[in-house]
Amino acid sequence: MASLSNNPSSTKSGDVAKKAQILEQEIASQRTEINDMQEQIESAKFDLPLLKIAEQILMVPLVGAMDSVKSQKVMEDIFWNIKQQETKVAVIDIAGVNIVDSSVATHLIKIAKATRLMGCKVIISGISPVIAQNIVNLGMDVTTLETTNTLKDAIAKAYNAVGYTLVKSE
Amino acid sequence: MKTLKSKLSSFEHKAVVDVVHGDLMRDDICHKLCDLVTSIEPDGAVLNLQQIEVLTSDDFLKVTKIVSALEVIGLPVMVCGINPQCALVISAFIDDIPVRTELDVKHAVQSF
Repeated sequence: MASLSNNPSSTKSGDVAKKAQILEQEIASQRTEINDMQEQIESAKFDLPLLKIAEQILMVPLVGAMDSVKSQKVMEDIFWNIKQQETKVAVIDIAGVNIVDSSVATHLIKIAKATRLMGCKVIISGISPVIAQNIVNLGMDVTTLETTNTLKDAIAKAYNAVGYTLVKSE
Repeated sequence: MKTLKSKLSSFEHKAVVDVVHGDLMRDDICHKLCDLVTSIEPDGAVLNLQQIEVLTSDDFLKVTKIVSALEVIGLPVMVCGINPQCALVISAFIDDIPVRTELDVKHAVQSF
């Protein structure tokens, strides 16, 4: 008498179950791949405007949500610009950033520290009283960051840093 | 004792040292480099790290020691030529970076 495992119909159903499992795994991995590709497409869509507002001064206005992908892109673009354009001051305006939490502050500190090593100073503008309060409440050490409330102040500081003085014409 | 592989040059009365990574591994780098720099009696010193592609935080701490030693001698010191990858590594691992940094030798000499 043949054992149950040697039953041809049982073996067949076992094979089908295995194949189904393999297919499910393949589908899951392909879904993950699709998700990764969609994320890459989304990040590629994020076009960061880098405005060279004067000799050696770069302005980077940030709008919307700030995440690690955007932060990395900002950092790479600033690095590239420092090398190519000999940028001495980068003004990052965060007035348009939705939420400034500890993660955003950490990203900004990281950018400022790394660019400083390449001889470029970072000024963060657009720090509203609410954002300032948030940062203080979070206990973040932002002493390494040079910050201003308005973009106007940041630009004046940037011009000063490269040796210009803004004078109102008569 | 072997001589340093790092090259010394002079630019506008400043000693410019093109530091090579191999030299940073040496225990005597600090005083050897100080000897090298002071031999030409400069107004200041620039440590150019452009030739170093991979710089660990330990290597950078050695650089800061050299900077401190040169400052003790009485020379203002600038560090330049740190590439973006190294900048990221250093900034991630070292909180307080006590050296003045510039993009390249030209900017470093100008900023004295």
